[in-house]
Amino acid sequence: MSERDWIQKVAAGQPLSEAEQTALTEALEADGVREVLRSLPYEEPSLAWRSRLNERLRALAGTQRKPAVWRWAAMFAAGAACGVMASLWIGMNRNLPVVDFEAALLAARQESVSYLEISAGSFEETEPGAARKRWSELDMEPL
Amino acid sequence: MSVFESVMRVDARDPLGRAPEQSRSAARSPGEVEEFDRVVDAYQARVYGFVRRMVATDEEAQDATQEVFVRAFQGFARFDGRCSLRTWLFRIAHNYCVDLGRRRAGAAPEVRIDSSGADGSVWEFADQRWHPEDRVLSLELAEVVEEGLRTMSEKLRSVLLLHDREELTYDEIAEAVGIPIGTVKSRLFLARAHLQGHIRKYQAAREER
Repeated sequence: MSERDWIQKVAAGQPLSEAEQTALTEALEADGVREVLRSLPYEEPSLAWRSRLNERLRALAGTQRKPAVWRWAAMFAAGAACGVMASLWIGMNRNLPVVDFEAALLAARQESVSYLEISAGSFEETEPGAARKRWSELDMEPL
Repeated sequence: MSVFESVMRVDARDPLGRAPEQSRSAARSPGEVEEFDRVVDAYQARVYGFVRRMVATDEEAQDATQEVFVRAFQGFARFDGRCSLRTWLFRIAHNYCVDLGRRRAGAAPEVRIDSSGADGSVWEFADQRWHPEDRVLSLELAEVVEEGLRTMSEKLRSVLLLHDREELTYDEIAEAVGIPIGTVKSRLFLARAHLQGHIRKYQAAREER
């Protein structure tokens, strides 16, 4: 293999053998072109350029922050809606009939008396729930 | 230490002495402009220098460099750290310049590579006005080199700049440009041969005067 062979193959875009690849790599290792290119000066963009870029980046950052704000707003709205629904449910349940406790006590008393009359026995033996009820006429008078 | 701080570590090889260079290790939110400013500070000259030699005019280069950093900022949340930040930035820059070249009407025709002057030997740039130890080129020589870059094809120019000027490795260039490593080496060899031939013609013309 001559040096010209693999160079011509490189120029023609043809694939190289392993040995040719090695020769190519060695030829690339040391070359004066690299030093010449690194000697070209670096130029910084102007301050005006940098200022324009900063404005664009901050505008993008503002745009990208908006979804987070909307998330908080949606969460607040959902919480407020839950609160409204809870209030409505409580308000609906207030229309249920109120139990008259006085009438319930009197009815219970009358029921217990009627049981006693039927059974003709002691108050303690026959009255249902007798252990819980110890009513007398005196107890009912304040009602 | 923030993710940007972990990425922004000094790279002693950087000619500007301030290159942070390490892959990201964690995802970041896209809104931290202040920290991305430090990425711009570190890379704006290098990206601008690369883009300026890939597009037609300085004005186009300034707009293109801005667009590169805007795209980098928008995509930074998706940057997964599999490649270095430097490789990732130059990949964005290369792809944008290639797309710009395709859209631009009347692009310069690709100059055919003459490999007759390439013999595989080490080429040393010999000129009394160039002092390698100072790494300084005269304005005239610099213009000759810039003209040599302009007259070569975009494919060769990008590889030459990324390797010989920006010091990316063959692997990094392959990833940034999207070509095999063997193709990187071939293009680099041809690009150098083209630039050498161009400089030799200039030197021969000077000697005839």
